[in-house]
Amino acid sequence: MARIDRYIAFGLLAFSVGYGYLAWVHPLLPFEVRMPFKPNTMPLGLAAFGILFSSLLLLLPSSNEIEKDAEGWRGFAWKNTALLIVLAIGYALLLRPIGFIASTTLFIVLSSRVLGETNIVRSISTGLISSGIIWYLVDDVLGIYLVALPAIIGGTP
Amino acid sequence: MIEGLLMGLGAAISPFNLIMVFIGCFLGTFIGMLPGLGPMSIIAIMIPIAIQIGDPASALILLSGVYYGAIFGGSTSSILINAPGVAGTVASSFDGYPMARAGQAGKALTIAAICSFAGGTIGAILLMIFAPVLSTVAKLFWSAEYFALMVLGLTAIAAFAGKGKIIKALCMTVFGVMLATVGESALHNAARFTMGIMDLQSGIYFVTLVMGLFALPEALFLVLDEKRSKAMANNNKIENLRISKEEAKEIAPVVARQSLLGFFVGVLPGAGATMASFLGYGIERNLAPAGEREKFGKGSIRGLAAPETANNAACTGSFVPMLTLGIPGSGTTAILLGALVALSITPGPRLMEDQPEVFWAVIISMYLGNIVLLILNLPLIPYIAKLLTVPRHYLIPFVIFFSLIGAYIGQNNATELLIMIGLGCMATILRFGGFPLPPLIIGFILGGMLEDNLGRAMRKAGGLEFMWERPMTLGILVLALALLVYPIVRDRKKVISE
Repeated sequence: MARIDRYIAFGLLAFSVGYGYLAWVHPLLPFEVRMPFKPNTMPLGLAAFGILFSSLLLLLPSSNEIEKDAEGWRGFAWKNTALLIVLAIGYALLLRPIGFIASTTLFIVLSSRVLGETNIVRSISTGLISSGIIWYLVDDVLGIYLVALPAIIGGTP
Repeated sequence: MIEGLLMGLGAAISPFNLIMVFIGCFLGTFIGMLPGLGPMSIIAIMIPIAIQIGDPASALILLSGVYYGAIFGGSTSSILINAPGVAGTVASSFDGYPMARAGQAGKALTIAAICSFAGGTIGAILLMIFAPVLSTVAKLFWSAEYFALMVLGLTAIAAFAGKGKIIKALCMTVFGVMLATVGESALHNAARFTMGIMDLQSGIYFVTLVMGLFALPEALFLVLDEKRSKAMANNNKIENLRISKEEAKEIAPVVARQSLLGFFVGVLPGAGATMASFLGYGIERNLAPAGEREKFGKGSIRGLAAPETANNAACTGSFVPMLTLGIPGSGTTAILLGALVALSITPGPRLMEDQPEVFWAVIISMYLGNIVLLILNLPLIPYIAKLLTVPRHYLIPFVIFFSLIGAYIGQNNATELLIMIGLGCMATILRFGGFPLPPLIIGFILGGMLEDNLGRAMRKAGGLEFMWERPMTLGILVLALALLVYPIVRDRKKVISE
């Protein structure tokens, strides 16, 4: 954990190599081959810089600050954070099928409960009122289409 | 000029027009706070209403109020919840958000309001004086100079390269430019690096990336680190709105410098508020005394004043090519140009002669927009800043929700939300590793323009010769190199001497 910056540097190095490979094999049109600036000219340069900088990160000594920070990570609320990420993914997947108002209310109610809200009536009313206001503002006032209701009761996904 | 000003005043100051500017500023500020709705989308939404008004001066006054309001609204969400909805306010979050976290949200918003007012007003004065001359200077800039200007903009990353983080900052910048190359570029029709995902054909959406990099990880960190989020809750006293005499003295020269710089950068078509804010931020960091320089990125008032002034002055500067040449210098002025055409006004070299009342009404509407914005927002700041006193178990879900919905409404596509969550998790891991994220977003924003201008310049010159053959390009590139290398060498010397 303390050497997380090394793992990230390794990930960036792998990314740069993969990016460079994709740039190298990028199919060029016949007229592009002799051009001074091709679609892969800058990507190849970027890949070279990416490989250089991430290699330097791997080779140079690690900063002590990261190791100090790692001490504080032990008390972190990992479970709640993971639950919130799952809820956000659920929101993304449900937004169209069940509509904006239901999905937003569900997200606000569940995420506020994860973070310690105990009053279910307050969380449901906060979710419903805020999603209703935002839906009205975005869809009705600004004219940006946002499906409000589930498809089975009138919403068009 | 005095005659023109009086003509503009006559057209602009009427009870109806004053109501228009109030409505414009109010709507712009509140809608602008929603991530994903930048000035461009808000003005586009308001065009049908402006056309209904009929009178060009009133319509322009309404749109100008919306424009300035939206920029201030964008700064508000940057400062309060680290969620910059538009590229031009990203640099404001670098120091504005740390100030808000340290219990200075009210002061940060006051500085933003005053600097925006000063930048916009000084910009309007400069527009009045220099508009005809600058339109010819802007024509001297070719893709080679634009490329050099983008490189100069990238030097802002030096501000995040302290304490041995220079390689990490450079890594993040390269990574940001790499992300900007995903999808079709302006020069080539073929899509690159999309992995077969159709939604990536037009590239990564800016709001998705910025929400994923800034707002979402911030919310996740607040959940992860309960101690910090409780300390933040205790810091939410917002009575501290006043700027002390010393602070005013400190930011006055910044405002003066950045008004000039922002305006002249804004005049160059395509450069705009984003470029001006990054350049302004980088330059002020280099000019700051040693002790103050350390505060950049941690809540420096200079670091907030510089981009806030520069982006507003640049917005005004971007009107120069639009009004005098009929060329839109930015996306927002392109939409405004469309509105002018719909109102039967043809912007261009003859506008000042053929329809002077419209030209001067636009300038007066800028003054009015800035003044009304200040009058409207200063008393509202305590209420806006109260947003931070919302209990943690609601504030965090709402920050996540606004980030998600900001990405969604821009593209109307649920895949954007999944991309954003993925980017948010990646950014959280990068923060654990001590990788500065602002260089990534700077690289992403400037990356597209950098490639387009490099491509055009290389095609024109047949290679990289343009870098040393064009004196202006060479001059800007040498300045960029000096601005990047000098602070690194200086910091290195300091570390060695310590």
